[in-house]
Amino acid sequence: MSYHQTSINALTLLVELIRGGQPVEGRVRLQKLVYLLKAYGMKRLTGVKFRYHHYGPYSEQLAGALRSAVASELIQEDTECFDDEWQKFCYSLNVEHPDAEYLQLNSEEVELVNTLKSKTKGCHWRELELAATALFLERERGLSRSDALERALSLKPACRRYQDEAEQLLGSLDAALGARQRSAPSFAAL
Amino acid sequence: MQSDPFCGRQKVFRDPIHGDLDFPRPLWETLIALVDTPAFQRLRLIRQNGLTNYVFHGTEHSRFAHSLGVAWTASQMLAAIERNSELSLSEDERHDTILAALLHDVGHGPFSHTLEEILGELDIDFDHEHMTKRILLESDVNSVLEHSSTGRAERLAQFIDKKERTQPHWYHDIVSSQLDADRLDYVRRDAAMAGIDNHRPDVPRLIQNLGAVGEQIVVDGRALDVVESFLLALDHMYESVYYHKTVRGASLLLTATLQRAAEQIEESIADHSDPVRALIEHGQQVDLDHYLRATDATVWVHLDRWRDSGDSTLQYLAEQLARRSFPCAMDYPSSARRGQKLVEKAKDLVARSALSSFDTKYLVMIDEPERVSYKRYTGGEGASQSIQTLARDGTPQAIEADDRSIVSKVGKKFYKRRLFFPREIRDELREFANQEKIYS
Repeated sequence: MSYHQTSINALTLLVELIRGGQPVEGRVRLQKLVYLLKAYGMKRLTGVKFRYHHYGPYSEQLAGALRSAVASELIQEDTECFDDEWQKFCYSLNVEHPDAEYLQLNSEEVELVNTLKSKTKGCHWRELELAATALFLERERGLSRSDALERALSLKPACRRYQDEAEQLLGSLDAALGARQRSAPSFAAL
Repeated sequence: MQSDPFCGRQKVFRDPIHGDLDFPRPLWETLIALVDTPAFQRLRLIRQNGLTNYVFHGTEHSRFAHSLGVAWTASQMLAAIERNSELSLSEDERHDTILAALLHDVGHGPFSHTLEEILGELDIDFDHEHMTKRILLESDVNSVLEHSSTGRAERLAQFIDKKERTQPHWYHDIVSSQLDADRLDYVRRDAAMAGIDNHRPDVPRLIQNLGAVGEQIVVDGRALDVVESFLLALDHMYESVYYHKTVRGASLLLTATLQRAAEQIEESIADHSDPVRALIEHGQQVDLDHYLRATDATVWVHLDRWRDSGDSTLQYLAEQLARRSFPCAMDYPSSARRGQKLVEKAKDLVARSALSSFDTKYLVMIDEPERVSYKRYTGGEGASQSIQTLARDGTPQAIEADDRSIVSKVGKKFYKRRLFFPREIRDELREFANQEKIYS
């Protein structure tokens, strides 16, 4: 799959995450949601590479797709200032943009996105950061869930107050999406 | 009476950018032993800027020169922070930081980013930071490090890979952050070698204004102008050099050539023991002895040989490189739908041209700013991702939060994607774009 096709796939996922409902708050939140989708078997994201970054798993390609969508006014970016963080970005979809209709997932993919959206509704971004980081360490290093969480907390002490929520979130995603992930073919078999 | 009046003289590396590079005397022996390992010497044969020298002919410098510059810059940053903030690191911590800076690029492969991208597209795991860690832990670099201080290799790995850290320290950020020794060296070195002298930031003054608050590096707010000039220079380098249209065209042609070779590996590199073949086949699992013999030079030998390849696609692509006949570029439209239309037309035109026998995926390519390996300052959402300045009341704040700063503009600057295609279809494609109002 070409780099560009991968970027389009990443953008299509972003559009679906932002489509409908309230604006999505935060770049970190978007990054972690897309990472969780990939980790739970979204095949469309196979080529999107995540690396360990400041706030956990991060994809430069995804960040670029978001910048490009903001520049083309497909996605609207608003800035809000908070006391604890110097600024936060809020994202909403410009439904008038021709790409809003053009970039569509199939029904099975939409279902997966909607499940993730409902399971993560109301989550603090720190909770997502911790959950995504633990999952990243679990997958990359073959750690158990508890060891991965412990390691993630040592790397991210600021997330400690969200430890229980992150653990519950991962358990709930395992229950809802884990079976799907297990049944998904590995990339090597595609 | 002394037999040699200069026996205590400090040895130095003579550097075209920073002048004489000196290092703490107790570190010198280890530093030289590391520089003399085959793993580090190999960096002489890996250009810092890939194919940029096809446009800016001066950019022939290597990762070897850059790595020495980064190590020295790190030593200056350490000294300034320790002095300004009245901190005192242990000798091990100080030396670890300088050596991590020296070795930060030791894992780069030939045409580092290009190769990484190709292996990624072939779904072969490869990450140069992983290779750096392997070299620290498995090669003769490891024995030099461990001889100098037990446990040093593992400690250095924490500088390279954030998730290896047992505890974050401000001195880690000297090696990897938005304001690290890497950027402070290449913003000056690459500009000077490219012959671009109009955005030269005052790096020494910036370094003299560094300090630490807790485990965070901060810049004295009174030096805001210097930080801004550094970030502007970085951005201008991105625009003028790293993301230059022709530089990117050359890189994409190289990518296409190597991709074709990788997909036809039995024909393109028959020798199973060839280091480039080993790398393409095994990615980051490659045998380290093979990897340490793979350089730009190794690849250039193949590129020249492929000009006589029996595979017409590979032969054509290698010949284009040899003739500096790079693909042409047009801005990619802001709408994905229009972009797709333009791409389809370009492929159609290629299929009806004299190049019709070649797979269009090697000829029609889209480039994106994120493919460039030199990262711009993008600032961040959370304060800890941004460069911190110290306000007059003593509190650190993200540089973008300062109303006076122009940095938020730099961080949000957008670079367009580009469509690259063969010169043979340029006129017809432009005409199509105008007729179909692709850019309206």
